[in-house]
Amino acid sequence: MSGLEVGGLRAGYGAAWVFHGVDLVAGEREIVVVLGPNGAGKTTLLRALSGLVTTRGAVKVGGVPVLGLAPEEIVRRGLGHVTEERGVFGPLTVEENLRVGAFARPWPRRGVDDDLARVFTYFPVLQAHLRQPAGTLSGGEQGMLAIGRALMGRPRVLLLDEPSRGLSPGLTARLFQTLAAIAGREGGTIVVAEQNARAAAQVAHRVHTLDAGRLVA
Amino acid sequence: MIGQVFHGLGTGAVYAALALALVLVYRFTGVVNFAQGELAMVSAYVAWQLVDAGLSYWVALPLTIAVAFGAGALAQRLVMRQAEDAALIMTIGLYVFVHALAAQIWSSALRTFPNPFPGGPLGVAGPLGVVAGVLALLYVVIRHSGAGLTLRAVAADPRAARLSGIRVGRVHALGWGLAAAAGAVSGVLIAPVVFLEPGMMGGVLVSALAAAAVGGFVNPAGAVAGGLLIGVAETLAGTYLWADLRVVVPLVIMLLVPAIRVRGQSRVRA
Repeated sequence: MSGLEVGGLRAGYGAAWVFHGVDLVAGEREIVVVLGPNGAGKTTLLRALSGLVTTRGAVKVGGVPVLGLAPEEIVRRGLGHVTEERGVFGPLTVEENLRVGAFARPWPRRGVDDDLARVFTYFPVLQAHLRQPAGTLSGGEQGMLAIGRALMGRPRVLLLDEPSRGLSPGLTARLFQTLAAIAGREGGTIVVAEQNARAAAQVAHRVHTLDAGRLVA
Repeated sequence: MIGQVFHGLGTGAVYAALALALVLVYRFTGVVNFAQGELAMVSAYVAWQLVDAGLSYWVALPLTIAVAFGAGALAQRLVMRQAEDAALIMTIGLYVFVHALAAQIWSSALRTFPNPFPGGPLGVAGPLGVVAGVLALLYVVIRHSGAGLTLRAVAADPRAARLSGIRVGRVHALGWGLAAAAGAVSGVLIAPVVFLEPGMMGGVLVSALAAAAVGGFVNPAGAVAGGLLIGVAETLAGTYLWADLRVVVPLVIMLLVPAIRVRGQSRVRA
């Protein structure tokens, strides 16, 4: 079964639609990249999927319709979202940030410690800073923490908004290698919105371009 | 003089408990709850009814705290949730409603409330001990429980908390419940000192607002220190300078807050 199915999606702020009719299907263990310049609507597309903006159409996560639900309920149905600004909890420690991510899972939350260990295999640097307030991490480390936190919720679909932002080309390449490993081992679907076409295209199973409110294959 | 200081600390403990309640609501839901004193007043009536029914004070107190927790959470769910954009106005509406409801149920007649603590300077250890216990309990819940973790996540970044699957509305209700529980302690502690009546928390609220301001409305320890400071300052000013001066003390403290607070906060942040 498909991880993410989007049909005829329209989304916008207030009365103005930013895009009109986006269709997108992404299967399990797939990385789908949505390219587009600044202002093309990539961020709005991801926000629409997680219920942060007004939306019409159909969105299914693992076959379950989620459109119209509150963001926290959509997350609880298996859609993780790492926003452009990362949104780590600055005063909380790295470990606390990761544990918060597990609240996306239904009761009873078993295996949280195993999941922590798994996140450290992808991002060893987080383990080194476990007791440190997240606000003291570098920008790149905060990005890793945000991805790790989303993984703690065991998402079926993981949305990443410009994960390469602020990273050097070398670090970007390594991050995408890690994402490929995550998609392969966790079995979920990863949707990446990116400006950086080269780094993303190397690991992507499919690349779409968002242009003038339409998704082009 | 020493006796007056002890007496002031006793009153200060009451302010500290209500200030703690104000800080909890502000820090976790971003609003100053003007109805906090009225919720505490109702809690004092609940405690009075329980003691009147024959329960011991030390059974009635925890029961009252539990009832207050539920009432606070319920107030958030039933009232505050309806108008999150106008939260401050809603708390004033809640103030008026709870006040009128209490006057309707218990009338405005003055009632006496039993004082379980011995008189004299050492009696002050009782209220201080109760407030210290509440502070310790809150610390454990907020720093070392899963529920406390959701509270701190929501306070740090509500949208990121939402995107981590936290049901922010329920967390806000939890914050209101904890605050009402802390506030209940102030109501029960002040009731033997003033008479039990619907307007009993008016003056306490003003002092507690000033005390909360000392902690910048976000720092629990600062709010407790502010409460004790104001309690002592009021007593000393009222005894040695001029009885009516008591009323002015919280306002003077509020004016001095920028000077006191900046230092206190930088120490906390370091």
